[in-house]
Amino acid sequence: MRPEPLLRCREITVRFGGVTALADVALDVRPGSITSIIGPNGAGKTTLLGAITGMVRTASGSVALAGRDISARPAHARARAGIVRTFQNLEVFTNMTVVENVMTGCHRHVRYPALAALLRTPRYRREERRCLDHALDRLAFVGLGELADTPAAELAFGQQRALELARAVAANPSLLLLDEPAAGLNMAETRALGALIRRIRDDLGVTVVLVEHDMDLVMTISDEIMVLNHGCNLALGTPRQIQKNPEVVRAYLGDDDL
Amino acid sequence: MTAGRGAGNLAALAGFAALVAAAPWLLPNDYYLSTLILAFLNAMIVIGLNLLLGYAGQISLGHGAFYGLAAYTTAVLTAAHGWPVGAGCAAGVALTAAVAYLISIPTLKLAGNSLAMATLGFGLIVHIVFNEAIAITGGPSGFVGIPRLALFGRVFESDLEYYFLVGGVLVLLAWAALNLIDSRVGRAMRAIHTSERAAEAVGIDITGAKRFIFVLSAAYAGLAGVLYAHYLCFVAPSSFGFHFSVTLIVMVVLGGMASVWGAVAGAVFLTVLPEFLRAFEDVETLLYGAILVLCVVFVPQGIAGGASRLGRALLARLGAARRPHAP
Amino acid sequence: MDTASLLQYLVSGLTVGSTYGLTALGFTIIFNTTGIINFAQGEFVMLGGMLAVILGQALGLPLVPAVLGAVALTTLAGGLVERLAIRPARGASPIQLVIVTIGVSILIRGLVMLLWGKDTFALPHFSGMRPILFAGAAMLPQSLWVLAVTLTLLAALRAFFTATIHGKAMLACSHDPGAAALVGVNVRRMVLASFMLSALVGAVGGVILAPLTMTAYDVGILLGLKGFAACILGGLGNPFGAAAGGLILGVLEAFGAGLVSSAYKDAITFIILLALLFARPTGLFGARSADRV
Ligand SMILES: Nc1ncnc2c1ncn2[C@@H]1O[C@H](COP(=O)(O)OP(=O)(O)OP(=O)(O)O)[C@@H](O)[C@H]1O
Ligand SMILES: [Mg+2]
Repeated sequence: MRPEPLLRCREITVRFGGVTALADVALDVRPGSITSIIGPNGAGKTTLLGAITGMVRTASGSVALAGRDISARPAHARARAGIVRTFQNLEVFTNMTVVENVMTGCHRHVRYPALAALLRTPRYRREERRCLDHALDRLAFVGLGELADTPAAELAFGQQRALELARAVAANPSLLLLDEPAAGLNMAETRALGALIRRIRDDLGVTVVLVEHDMDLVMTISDEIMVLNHGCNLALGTPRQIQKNPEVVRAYLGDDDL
Repeated sequence: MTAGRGAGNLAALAGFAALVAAAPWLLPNDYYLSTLILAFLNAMIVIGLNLLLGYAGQISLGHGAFYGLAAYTTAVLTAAHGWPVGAGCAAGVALTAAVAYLISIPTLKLAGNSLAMATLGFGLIVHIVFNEAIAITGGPSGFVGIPRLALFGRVFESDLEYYFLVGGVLVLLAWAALNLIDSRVGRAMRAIHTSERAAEAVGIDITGAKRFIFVLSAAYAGLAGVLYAHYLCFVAPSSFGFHFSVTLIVMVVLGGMASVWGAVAGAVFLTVLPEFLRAFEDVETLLYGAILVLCVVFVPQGIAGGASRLGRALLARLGAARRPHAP
Repeated sequence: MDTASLLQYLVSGLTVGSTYGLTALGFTIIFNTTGIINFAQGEFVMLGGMLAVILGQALGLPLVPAVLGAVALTTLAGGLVERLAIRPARGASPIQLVIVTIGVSILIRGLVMLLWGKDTFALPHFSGMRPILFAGAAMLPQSLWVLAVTLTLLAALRAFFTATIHGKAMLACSHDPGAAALVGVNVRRMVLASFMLSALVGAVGGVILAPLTMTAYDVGILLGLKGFAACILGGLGNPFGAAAGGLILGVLEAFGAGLVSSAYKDAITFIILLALLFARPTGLFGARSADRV
């Protein structure tokens, strides 16, 4: 018997004008798992993450987190509920320092009224202190501890990727969605990323959904893989099952032929 | 380390407060004192506007109207309806904030030039009302007979007293702005400036954050407005028009976007500059325009950015001089 | 309300609206190539009217050469603005360039005031002041001039943008300056050309309206404001939408003044404008998102 899924998506349909980017897509994510979504370019992977986080308008379908339907909630409310994502093209806050980026990630759990900030009350100082410590901790976790006070814009590409991860985990999410975190990284960096994603799951207890093209990475760290093709569910299974699935092989080879 | 920023802020604040306190003894005569009072009032508005424009990246061409709304509110309530000055001031700031809240609901859905147009339209409408609602506002010739500021039974009669009051309020507002910038709200607004998507992704309520900062910056303008009304004891629509709203934007950009001290510098510079140029009579306007152009061409980062560059260069040179054999 | 006065309002609205439309068109030409809102656009309109008056009065030129000379000189001024103020500030952000144009507009105003004072001037009507009666409404021949010149200029620009290589290149710049440079469009020259063209369009708008409304060193402020409103109303990315926005704005204003209250005519206009803007944030004819600051 399977436990109640942490994330449960049903019949998700998304249209952009005349294009149907997702058609009746379903996805279950077990708590504590690393679930990967793969598929050829344009399959709708990023769109699915958008639908889950509320950043893309769905034509129909439902999204439930830990049994609670969140389909009607706006993006920021879903993030507050615990679903946090990263982006395929980097979205680092270039007008802040590295540690400020990560502190921004703490937004959902550092709480004090704006008035407390304006007047610098003890509560503000206490919470800011906690936020800073938490952010530094997360920076160290991804290996950017030394660079806390560097302007984020000055980081190298791979470091900006790590910074986005640090910002996302600083939110203490229950579900973390990663959109092609290995894109643009070399082999050594990708291997380190794989280890980092594992530690995010094991040490921080965060359930991870990974969208990725790097098959080595996907096959080594995933518990479960969902394959999307032309906006539809194509297959679902363990890495071993997916590797042997003839339809998946055809979808990929078919695209390679193009 | 990061925690040191708070200490740096406090040091800068203390330095600024000392400068404000010393200024009256450095000035040759009282005329400059009143120019400085007006400069400080503008600085209050510009600090607020910079929170909106420089930090959150949202433009407003209607801040002159917020300034005027507060000034007229307290003017009418105290002079025509006999309210105590303190109550009139509070009502002026509160009404300004409330109006800002209301117009933010449809307006902040817009971005960029549409937002500029919407706030501009709001400012023009308010300005027209100042001019045409003659029974209440006195029309184009202005509203006279506003009492001088009196708080807790104390009337701020002399310019010097008023100067210290305005200087004190300015220091407080700068302090509050600095605190806000280094807080969850401040980070939220800076995040919105670079990427609304990424801000949403970490749980920032974009609409709420924008609205808060819009209302706060209007309240800054409102506070300056009531202090203005009870300083000059006279208000006229021409002080709160489109031209003034544009000047405020120029002060933000020339001072340096996203810098509280830049906002103060830009406001003081552009308030004092016309006073100096007055000596040139005919070519006054021409020089003013030329100086604006030259400033952007030669100091594109604004006064604050230029100063910090200069500071870094000097430090580097000092460091190099001190350690000639550094590896 | 009888049809004659309605027609009267319509004509006067279209007449003033033509100049708003041409001003708005000038805004979009520069915005499309550079991404900046040119606050000096109103000054080009002012220069058109003022220079025509000056050339006529001071140099004693007949009307036609004075008008043509004014347009040519303003076009030249547009080029100078680009070379002396915009180009040196290259690398500045759009908002800083907007500040440059604010400085330029103050400078131009200051210069005109220095040279010719603060007086109000009148340009002679192009072909007399005897009103033409039409369906009970009286209209000045100048109104017909305004409409005819505006329509001709719009048609010419339309042909320029769609049929000539330079016009197409100008639109290409707007979509992606980097790509435009890659395919061999000289972006710098395009920026210069856009300033000259929009100065020309503005000057024409100023010259044809000057006989009806008089002119002075400071008329550019209000015209620039109305032109900006018109181009946001019509849609910033779309030159002809912006021109249409100007006509709509002019008509709204004329009816607002005629039917409701002349004291609040601008307020009424702007309230309607804001309502339209909230309903269609990208403008009536704008398809592209308007999120560039
Ligand atoms: N904002 C949008 N407007 C219109 N079409 C879109 C939009 N976003 C995505 N699409 C289309 O939807 C489809 C799915 O796109 P999506 O970005 O989700 O694919 P993907 O699987 O993430 O691809 P990749 O591996 O290249 O990132 C594509 O055909 C894409 O062109
Ligand atoms: Mg994608």
